[in-house]
Amino acid sequence: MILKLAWRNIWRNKRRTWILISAVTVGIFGLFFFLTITQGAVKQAIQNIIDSGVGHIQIHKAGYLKDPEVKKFIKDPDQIIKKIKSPLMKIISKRVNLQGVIYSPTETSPVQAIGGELGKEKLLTRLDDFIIKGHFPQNETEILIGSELAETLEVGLDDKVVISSADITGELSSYAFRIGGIFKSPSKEINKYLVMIDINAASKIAGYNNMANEIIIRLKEDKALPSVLENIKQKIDSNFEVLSWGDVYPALKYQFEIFNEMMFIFGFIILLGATFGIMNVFFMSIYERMREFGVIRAIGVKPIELGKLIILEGLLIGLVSIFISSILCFILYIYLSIKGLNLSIFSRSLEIWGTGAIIYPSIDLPSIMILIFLVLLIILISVLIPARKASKIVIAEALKYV
Amino acid sequence: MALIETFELCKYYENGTIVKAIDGINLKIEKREFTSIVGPSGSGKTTLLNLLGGIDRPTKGKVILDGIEISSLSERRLSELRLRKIGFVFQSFNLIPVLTAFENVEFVLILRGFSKKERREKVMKVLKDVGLEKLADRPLTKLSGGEQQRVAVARAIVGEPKIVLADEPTANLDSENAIALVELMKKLNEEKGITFILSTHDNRVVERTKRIIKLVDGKIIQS
Repeated sequence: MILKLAWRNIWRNKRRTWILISAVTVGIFGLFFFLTITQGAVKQAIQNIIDSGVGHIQIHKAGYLKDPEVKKFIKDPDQIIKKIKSPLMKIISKRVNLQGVIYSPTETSPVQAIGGELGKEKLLTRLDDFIIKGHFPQNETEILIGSELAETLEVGLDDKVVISSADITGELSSYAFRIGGIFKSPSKEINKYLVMIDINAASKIAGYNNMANEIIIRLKEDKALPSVLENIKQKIDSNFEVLSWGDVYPALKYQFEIFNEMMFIFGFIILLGATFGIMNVFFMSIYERMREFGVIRAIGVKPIELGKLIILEGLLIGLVSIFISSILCFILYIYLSIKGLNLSIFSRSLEIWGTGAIIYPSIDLPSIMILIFLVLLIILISVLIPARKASKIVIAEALKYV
Repeated sequence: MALIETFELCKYYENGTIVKAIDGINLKIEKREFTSIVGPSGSGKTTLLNLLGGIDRPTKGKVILDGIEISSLSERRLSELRLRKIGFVFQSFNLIPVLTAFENVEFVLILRGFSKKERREKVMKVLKDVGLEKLADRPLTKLSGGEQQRVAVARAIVGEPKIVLADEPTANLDSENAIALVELMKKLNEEKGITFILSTHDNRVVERTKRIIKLVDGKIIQS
């Protein structure tokens, strides 16, 4: 009966209830849009980092990340790959990474070269998708470079470049390549420094013989990362470092985490603003029904029961708002998942962030649950004071209200 | 033992000066009485009923209802007592507008914890007693003033209270409905033994009650 009473009460002043529901719905809808787009942007940025060649997991000789010397190599990478391989992995491959200088006939530039197994690298990185001229390297004489680097070096397709880097003995070693392709990824930094070459060519520069300085793993699903990471750590000894993408780019990982938390705080502040609006409406509703509350209390309803009635009315409005906004949010999510949100107007800043100009929404179940919880919490807070007011009425005074 | 007894009952309001709404009333109401409280506007009729029904607290003195000193009970205990022992009928019907006639009457029984079957039986019985059994499912907006006040009477008696307190129950009714309502209360008093105290300044009501208490300036001048 209390539920029935609360439900009918909220529809007594239809216009006011609809205004309140609309306000809460717009708030939820706006917050959902904001959350999905920002989470989508973060996810895309992370994905682009993983796609850029970082992968989900990297294995090196201990201390390599801190000081990536060519001397810190993995002696028998194929044996380790055999040992740690799992069905949760999409690709596992070895690499010879080099840091050095790239020369064109006219210019030089610092460079980070990925010497990879080309067939696997095509699936490990998305560089292939970003190629704007030419093709992915097909043999050890070809190199794929970024558009910014091509500009710096003043080179184009089929031009010759030379990479020089220290070898295992500490001597400078060089290798000549022909530009097979030029890529343009969403990240300016990657376009400026990263190049892709064949592992055999890189091994020749480094002086490696069936060795590598990185084993890289791409997983089938992002969520499998913690378990796979833990599993690998248990299988190999402490002479190696097993790193997630977040360990490789800790600042970026924390930046994304802080960003996500900031979004929730921001959302909470928005909802807190709504609190005062909701509270005001409920106070109006209570003063309108003061006499009726007096009667209800007079016939034997306890103060706490009257307070519960008001809270229930608030929660019902919240649930109706959540229901309506869920439908709207679902439609929005489907639309944006197909079309994406074109933010090319902010493309420069997005390039730095590495997300790309078109953002696709992303939201996980815990975020939805938190959002619903926050909305109900805010409504509960909004109606608590009016509910307390109603429960504290002096019956004789309330009965005099006109 | 009297059903209600008051001892030196006082209710003062402070509004710059002290207003003595009820001033030292000693009163006994026995079971099965059909009593009216009369007096001019501002004489304290409503205040006295509120004090007797435990919806207001006295400044001094005490009210004993069915052996319980109610003036010092907590809000929660008072609510429980009102629910079980007192029925109220107010001047302007004061029903819950979003509920039907049936649901308004049933509300008291829900608070009392009766089962659905028991509620249906009891509500339909009292609605029959007040002549509204055919209008049970009507929303209040479809009922006349007289019918609404009969719903209020049904709500007041459905829990089989010790006493029904009616504050100017006929004030908003036309002559025909006013007489019909008092006759209904009288019938319930005679047939079911329910004690009624009515505050009124309607002579048609007064002349049908068995006892008249006259109140002037918060004091009983005739009982």
